[in-house]
Amino acid sequence: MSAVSPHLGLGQGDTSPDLQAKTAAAYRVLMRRRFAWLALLALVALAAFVADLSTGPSRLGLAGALGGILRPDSLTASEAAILWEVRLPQAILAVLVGLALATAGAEMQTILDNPLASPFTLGVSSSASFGAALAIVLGVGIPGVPQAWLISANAFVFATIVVLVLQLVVRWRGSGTDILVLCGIALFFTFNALVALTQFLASQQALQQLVFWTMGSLSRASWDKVGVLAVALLLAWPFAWRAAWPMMALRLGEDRARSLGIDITRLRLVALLRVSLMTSTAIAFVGTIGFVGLAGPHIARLAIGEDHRLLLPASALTGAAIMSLASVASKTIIPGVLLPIGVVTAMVGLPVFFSLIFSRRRTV
Amino acid sequence: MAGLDIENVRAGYRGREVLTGLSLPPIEQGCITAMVGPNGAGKTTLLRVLAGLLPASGGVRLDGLNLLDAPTGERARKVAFMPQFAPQRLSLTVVETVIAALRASPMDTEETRVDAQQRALETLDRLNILYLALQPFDTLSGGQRQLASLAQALVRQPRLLLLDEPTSALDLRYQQQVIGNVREEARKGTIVIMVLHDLQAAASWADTVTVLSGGRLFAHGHPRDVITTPILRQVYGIDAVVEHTARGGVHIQVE
Ligand SMILES: Nc1ncnc2c1ncn2[C@@H]1O[C@H](COP(=O)(O)OP(=O)(O)OP(=O)(O)O)[C@@H](O)[C@H]1O
Ligand SMILES: [Mg+2]
Repeated sequence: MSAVSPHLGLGQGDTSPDLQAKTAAAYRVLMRRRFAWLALLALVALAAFVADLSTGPSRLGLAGALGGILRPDSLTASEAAILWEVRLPQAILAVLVGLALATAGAEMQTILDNPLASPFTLGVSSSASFGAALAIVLGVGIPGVPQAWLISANAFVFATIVVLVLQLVVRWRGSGTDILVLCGIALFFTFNALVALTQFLASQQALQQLVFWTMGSLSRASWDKVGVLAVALLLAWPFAWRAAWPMMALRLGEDRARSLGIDITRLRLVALLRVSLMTSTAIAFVGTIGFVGLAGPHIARLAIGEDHRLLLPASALTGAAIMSLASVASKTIIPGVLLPIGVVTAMVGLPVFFSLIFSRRRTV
Repeated sequence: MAGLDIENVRAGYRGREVLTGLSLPPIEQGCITAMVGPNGAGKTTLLRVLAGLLPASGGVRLDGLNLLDAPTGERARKVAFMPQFAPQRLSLTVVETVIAALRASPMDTEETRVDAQQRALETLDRLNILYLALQPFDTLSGGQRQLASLAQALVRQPRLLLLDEPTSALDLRYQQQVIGNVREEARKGTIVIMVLHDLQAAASWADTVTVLSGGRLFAHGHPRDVITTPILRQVYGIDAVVEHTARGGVHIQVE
């Protein structure tokens, strides 16, 4: 998956007068190769989406599903219901969740200057779990929110609270990555303890529901949720895109970035807002789904390098592909049983991830 | 008006003042100043103040513009800073780091946008490291990193160029290369301040040598008047025989 071969035929002794032109040409080749990777990732994501659409317990296969979208009257009423009310919202939600978590992961890794960071690094997911736990176990929620949205709304609110706390920390002590990560870890343990406490207090049935929620699942997908998550993505993405250059400058080192006139505290705060918006909306609907936000950006970086203008879409597409493939696997590994997708992403993704890391260490 | 004035600058870190009212004689445009002094003297601190990275009181005026309270963007357009250390983990290619240094600034204009890549390549060419252009930054050697980092500062064509130990990891050939580039910048009127530990290099490269010690100005002037046996004894506590050669070089023999 090499995107960058170190010299591309340029040697130190080369003194040709048009060396600049030669280098520019080599850079163009490199960029073309990266765009080819991007196109390939898009194809894989699309294929995975179609595969996701055509698998499920009922006998609606590839031809049926695609035919049903193009010519709705080709399906029976029950097939149409399966396609439009189950398969499509689930498949699209999977893609959107993948886009959201992987984009958030890419941004988080940059602002924390840490390739091991993920959207969940700063305790966002454990606070969301606590919000969900409150709703599931104690029925505590925001007044006026309909029952069907109670868990999601709670998860979202608590994830947002964590980010607000982190914002306060940044304002108070500056945006040093160490302080952020330490506070994130503290929040992580706090909310995990609170979740454990609610589990301890929970009834058998509520406990089961809560465990199920924390494993992540697409089965509660609906068009409303697809719409809300799409809006969150549409809000976050243009800003992520516009911040691509300053984020690259941040990678050059804090002092360098600041000497270029970039307000890095603000850059980090706003990025943190985007991360939280995308992450908390996604997990509010599908529960905690690990791994995608870590592996998506990582795989994209192996393929494409760190140019944020390419890294963001590449991460997003990789995340979408992982989610769709995991969704397919969750429906097919044990026939007739729908496994929690959060478990599957880890099970299916991990071997792929490791093989990538070990086969392509340090080539990009 | 044109030039750099540093007056009574006080700056430091959390509860600890490092620069305690530092003033320098005015520095004219096109002047290369070598800043020397013991470890911990405050050289990096002063450069960071000039680059706007550290709050300070006092007065710093570049061509009449007060740098200490100038808008960030305006300061960034005039001042470029090469930090003492380059980042460790960075898989951007060298040319991308240079383009980013041009384009990420909030003062980024349509103009810089269009030919950012061309200007980046030219800068790498001037430093004779075009062959590194497509190599990921974190696969570079120590000296190559330093050169790439210098390119990120040079590409901005600043009025004030601040270099924190730009040659400490370079071989002889690239040291000459870099000082050649710095002189070229200075000929265009750029004010260059570079921190150096190599006194012989400081003497032969710079127009003026500034000695900082304990956050204060210890000496400032022509290399011949500043790099002397008594000053070396007082600043570094070493006894040395100093011989200035006719061609502007200096030979230092430590006893
Ligand atoms: N971030 C910081 N926080 C607290 N003190 C600092 C910090 N950075 C530097 N100092 C202190 O300020 C003093 C001056 O440091 P500075 O980095 O300016 O020295 P320097 O002259 O550049 O030294 P060197 O030649 O070793 O690079 C030192 O005593 C150092 O301990
Ligand atoms: Mg220093």
